[in-house]
Amino acid sequence: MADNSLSNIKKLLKEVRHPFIDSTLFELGFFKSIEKKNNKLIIVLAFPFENIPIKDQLIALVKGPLNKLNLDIKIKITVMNQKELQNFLNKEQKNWIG
Amino acid sequence: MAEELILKVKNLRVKANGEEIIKNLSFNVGRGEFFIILGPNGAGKTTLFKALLGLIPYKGEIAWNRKNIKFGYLPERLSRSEFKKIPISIREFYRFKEDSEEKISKILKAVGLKGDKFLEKNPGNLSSGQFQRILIGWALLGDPEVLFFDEPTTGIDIGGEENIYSLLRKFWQERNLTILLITHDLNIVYGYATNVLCLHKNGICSGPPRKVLTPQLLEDLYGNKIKFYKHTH
Repeated sequence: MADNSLSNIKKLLKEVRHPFIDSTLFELGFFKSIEKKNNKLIIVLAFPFENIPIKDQLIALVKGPLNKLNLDIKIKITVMNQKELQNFLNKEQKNWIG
Repeated sequence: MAEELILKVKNLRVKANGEEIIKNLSFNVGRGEFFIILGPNGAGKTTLFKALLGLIPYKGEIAWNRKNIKFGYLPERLSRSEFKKIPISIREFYRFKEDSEEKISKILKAVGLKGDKFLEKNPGNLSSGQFQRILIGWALLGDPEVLFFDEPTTGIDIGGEENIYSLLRKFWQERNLTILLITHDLNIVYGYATNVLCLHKNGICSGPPRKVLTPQLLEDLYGNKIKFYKHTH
């Protein structure tokens, strides 16, 4: 049976990499919170800006490793604060794959 | 030219390190275009890519025609020597993006690397042409509709370069991709571009290459040392 403990969920999410920056979403500050109540998982993702074109792509990447866990996943979206944004931009500049 | 627009950019302004790199840039890209961005170093080509992907702040309007477009990127900065430093196989590299072994095998075959023997190899130990194919395969994982390519042929020989562009053209046609590509190579522009966008300090131009790339414009872009030899074969 799949391990759907919160610690395993966090472990899986920590491996999710940004498609265009050589860093994980965790390192870039995308995960604002991860909460689990029974079978329901609520993930709050903080994006650097509103309406970024790769929003759906990033959400799919986050859901990907959790698909086998049979959870009711809800993703909420927010925007990074200035400090989080600065961290993101620094890492984006340093680790851009292009 | 494609009729349906996939991207509209209007009055785009982007700053990098306090300096305005892109000023009032407007252009459109049709679905299914092989759209090439041309310009000297420092003109803002890579900055433009980052803005189009929503990775950096900007002013103005960038409108993709749908919310859930899937984007792919060919990572130019990943080199064979970087891969040689880390013990990673092609399978492990592809698994960052794709879990399905079947899809990984399919994409390897599609880029012309047949046989599972490749999956266990370190990408750094491949020939330069094979390495570029691996990167193209990586960019195509996840079935993107729009592909960004930034100087994908840096550091490979001319024979390999032709093969890579042939491969790009094959995927472009087969998968009805929209390709946005940065290059300095005018042979690639004339050979492949449906439309070209030129970025330089004194302004911009956009349109079909044979219409907009006048000798005067090329001199403005690259100085008077530019020479273009049109292939006749």
